[in-house]
Amino acid sequence: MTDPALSTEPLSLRAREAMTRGHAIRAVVTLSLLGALAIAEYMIYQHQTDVFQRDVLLIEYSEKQRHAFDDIGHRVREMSLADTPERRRAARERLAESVDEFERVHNALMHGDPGVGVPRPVDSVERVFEEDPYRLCARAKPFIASVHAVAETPPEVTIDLRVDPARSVLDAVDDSDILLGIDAVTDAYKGHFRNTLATLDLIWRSVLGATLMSLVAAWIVAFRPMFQRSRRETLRLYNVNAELNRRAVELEQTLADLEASRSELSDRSLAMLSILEDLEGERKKLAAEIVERQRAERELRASEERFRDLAETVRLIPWECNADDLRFSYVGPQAEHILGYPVDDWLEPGFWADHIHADARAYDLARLGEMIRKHDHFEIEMRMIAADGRVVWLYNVVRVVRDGETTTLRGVMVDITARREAERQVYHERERLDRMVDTADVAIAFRDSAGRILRVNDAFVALTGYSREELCSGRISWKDLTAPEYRERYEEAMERLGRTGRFEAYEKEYIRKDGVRVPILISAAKLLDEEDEHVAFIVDLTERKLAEQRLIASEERTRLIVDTALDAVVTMDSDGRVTGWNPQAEQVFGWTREEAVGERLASLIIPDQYHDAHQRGLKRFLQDGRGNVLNRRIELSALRRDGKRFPVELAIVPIHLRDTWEFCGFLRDISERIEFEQSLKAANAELEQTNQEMEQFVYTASHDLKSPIVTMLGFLGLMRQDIGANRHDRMREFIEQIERAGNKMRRCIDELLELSRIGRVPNNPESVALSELVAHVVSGHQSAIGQRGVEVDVAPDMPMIRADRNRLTHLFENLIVNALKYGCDADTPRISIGCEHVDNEVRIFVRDNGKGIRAEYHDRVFEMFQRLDNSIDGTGMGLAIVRRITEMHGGRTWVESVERGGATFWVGLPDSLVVGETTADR
Amino acid sequence: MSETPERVLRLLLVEDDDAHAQIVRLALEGAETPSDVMRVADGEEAIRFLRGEEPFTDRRRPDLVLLDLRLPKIDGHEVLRTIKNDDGLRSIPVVVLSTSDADTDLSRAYGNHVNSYMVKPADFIEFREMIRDLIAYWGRWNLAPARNGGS
Repeated sequence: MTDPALSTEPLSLRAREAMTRGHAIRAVVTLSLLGALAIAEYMIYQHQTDVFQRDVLLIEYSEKQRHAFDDIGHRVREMSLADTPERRRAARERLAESVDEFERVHNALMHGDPGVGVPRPVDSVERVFEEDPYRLCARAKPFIASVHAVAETPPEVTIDLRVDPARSVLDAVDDSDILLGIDAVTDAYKGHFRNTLATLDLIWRSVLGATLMSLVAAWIVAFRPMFQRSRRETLRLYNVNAELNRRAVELEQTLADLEASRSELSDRSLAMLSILEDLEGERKKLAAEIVERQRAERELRASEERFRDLAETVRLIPWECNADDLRFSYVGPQAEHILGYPVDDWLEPGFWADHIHADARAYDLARLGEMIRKHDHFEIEMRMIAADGRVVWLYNVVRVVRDGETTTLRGVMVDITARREAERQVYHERERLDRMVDTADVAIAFRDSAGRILRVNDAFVALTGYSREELCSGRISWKDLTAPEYRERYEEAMERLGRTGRFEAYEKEYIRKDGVRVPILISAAKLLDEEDEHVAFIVDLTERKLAEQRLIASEERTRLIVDTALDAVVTMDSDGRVTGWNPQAEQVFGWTREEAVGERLASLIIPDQYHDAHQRGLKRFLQDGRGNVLNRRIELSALRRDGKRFPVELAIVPIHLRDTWEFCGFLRDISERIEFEQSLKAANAELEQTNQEMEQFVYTASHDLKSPIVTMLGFLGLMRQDIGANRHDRMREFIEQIERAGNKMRRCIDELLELSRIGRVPNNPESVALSELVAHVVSGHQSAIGQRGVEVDVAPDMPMIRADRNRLTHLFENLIVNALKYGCDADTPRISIGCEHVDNEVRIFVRDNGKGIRAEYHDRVFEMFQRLDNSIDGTGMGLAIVRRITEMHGGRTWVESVERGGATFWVGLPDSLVVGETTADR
Repeated sequence: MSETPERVLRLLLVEDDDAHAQIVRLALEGAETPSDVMRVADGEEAIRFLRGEEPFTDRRRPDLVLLDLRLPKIDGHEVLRTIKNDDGLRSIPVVVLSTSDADTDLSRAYGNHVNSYMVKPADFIEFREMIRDLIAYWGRWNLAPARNGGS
């Protein structure tokens, strides 16, 4: 695997010898130059050192002079203050010493002192004194003299500071001129000293500069070939690095690719490791050479730094550590960027272990230990904690180097956090999918095309009743679950699945473990094209089927209710079209359900006159929800199929169905009811009339019954009065009156009874031959007829009718009596009885030729108790009875008459009563 | 009796029942107030009589009409209505004398401005008292406007 371009090129022996010879010549030249330079420097240095030493001495003396001057002042004061001669003497001696010192120093400064090495004043020093503004030279002599004078004062004499010479000494001491002069001189010396020092410094620097320059020159001359060699090496390293970099980029790409296999990465990393190891070997070899050639080391280090810079751009970080304590002995510089710790930190003991994520530290360390024990090569991923707290995944490819006692780990690490993050997301995605599948209410199963079940969720287990183990063991195939009649359908679906990758949902039945059939809805799809795995979604339809059945049952019930309803039930949509039509509606309207449904309701059963109202009402309801005919019972007329109209009672209920309206109408044919109501009304009217008649009857009867009572009681009262007065002539007359009244009353009561018996319907109707009956009645009155000479003519061809014989006899009895009573006042009275058949009426007449009845009394004659002629005895009830009997047979009575032109009483009977014509002979 | 000239009350009895008419006449026998009773038997005759029509052209105008309600041809109510609607006859007082005490008859009679309404008592003594009081009242106490015709 090693690339020849990367291998180091060893230096040849010849080149080494040439290089050594060149070095020797250059070294000799350089050393001689350096020697000459050193001698020159020494001479200059020597001179300057002398000047320097003299200046130092002069400054020292100047300092001494100043010290002595100060001492003199003190001693003089001491002398003056000394209270005993001994003390004064001692002070004087010390003063003498001080003044001597002062004088000696001064002389040395002025004239030089070879004994102590003070040179004769040079020009510059003399100039110091001459230029002294305080004229120290001039002042020093008198001062020294005055001090001597003081010093020679005998010890017995007390020094009085107010008199000379002590005074002048002190003045001089106090006067700063001398002091200032000394200082000025000292300063002058010091200035000179500084100048000298500066000069010395200058010389020093120039010597140093020259030395350095010569050294540089020596470098250039002596070590140039070595420099060039170093540069070549660096260049070669650069190339190696470039190649390394290219490979790193490749590797990086490989890493970035999530699909790249780990083994490939591992191989490549190992390759890289070996390359790096080679490189490292080269590097070490080179380092050894550099160690051999100490002076080239700095250049080599510089080049190495460049190498590191380059290496930093590579994300693979080589490292080396001790396997026992996991202490890094080396890490690549870019490690700093991975965790944010400087490389030095990495090299601290325990760094690795400390920065493994706490959650996995123990485990990771144990795993690592195991790996180290068992393998020479291994890979390990670890979660590390960066300086800023981030979690960083490091992928390490490790080689274990066992060298006797010590075991070293060499490895490369890569930050694979991004990849791990991606993997984690993939993992999470999968986790979520798994959870979704497991917790779904829908049963989900994964299977292969052979129907083997690979995996199921809880809902599927619950649905089938088999345990997960049973399902996934392969013993239960998909086919086993499917009810036999659906197997064909199943094959079909599987065929479609194989062909198109999915099949649409269809319903079938499963057989549960306990044998119960479960209706389900199933759909399935292939998961991945290249894999033989399907996912099937199964929905349990048991509840829905039950609900459907319930719904169907409910609908059936509703339909039965509607169909068996006694009312016609008709439903209509918001367009006015029939949507429902029950059997009763078929019967009532004559249209069958098939004919009616879909037709416009208006065209079927609504009469033309209601069409507009129907349309308007429908429109208005759909607009604002108002309806006059809704939710209540109304009566209308409806149309039958044959075009006949008939009354219906109708209730319309609007039904809101989803977003539209339906109208449900309950209709009932009320023809019979209406008829009944009408007959009831008629009966009621009749009853009312009867009631009124009855009232009238009671009223009239009471009046007409009272009347004879009044008569009877009146005449009885008169009789009592006459008896009291013993008068008897009128008794007979009164009794006759009473008898008449009594008879009248009896008749009246009889006829009332008769009238009340008539009733309202014929009793025992039978066929009656009219002519025969009339003749019989007439024969009953033969004596009256003969007495008055009345000619009676009865038509023999009157029909036979169905009637109440007794009543009919009574009718003609009354009519004939009436005619005999009132109509026989003519000269030749005549009564004729016959009948005419006009329209639907059989009109029977009884005609007389009497005085007749005026028109205004024609109606009244038939009323009860009405009499027109008071002169003839009668109750006034005969014609009322005639009318009542006629009406009872459904007929009518009337009279035709003109005054003095006779009267004809008519009895009109409906010809429906006629049962046959009579042609009876008489 | 009194010195005042005898004033005879002319009474028209409209009564279809002969017996009743005779009872009225007999009740007036011996009455203090003198009266002259004329009788017609039905409504039609009553109106003819009052108007002086055939066959009553020579009749004298009555001072009082005693009217039965139930009459042949034209009944008493109609007769009353005719009298009270006739300017010439309206001033003649009409007293209904009937067996009926029905409210309909009473209200109808008073609606036609009857002057008095009496129910025939069944007891003759009462009947006589009533007739005599009636004659006394109308013949003696009641003042009629000056007669303006027919004498």
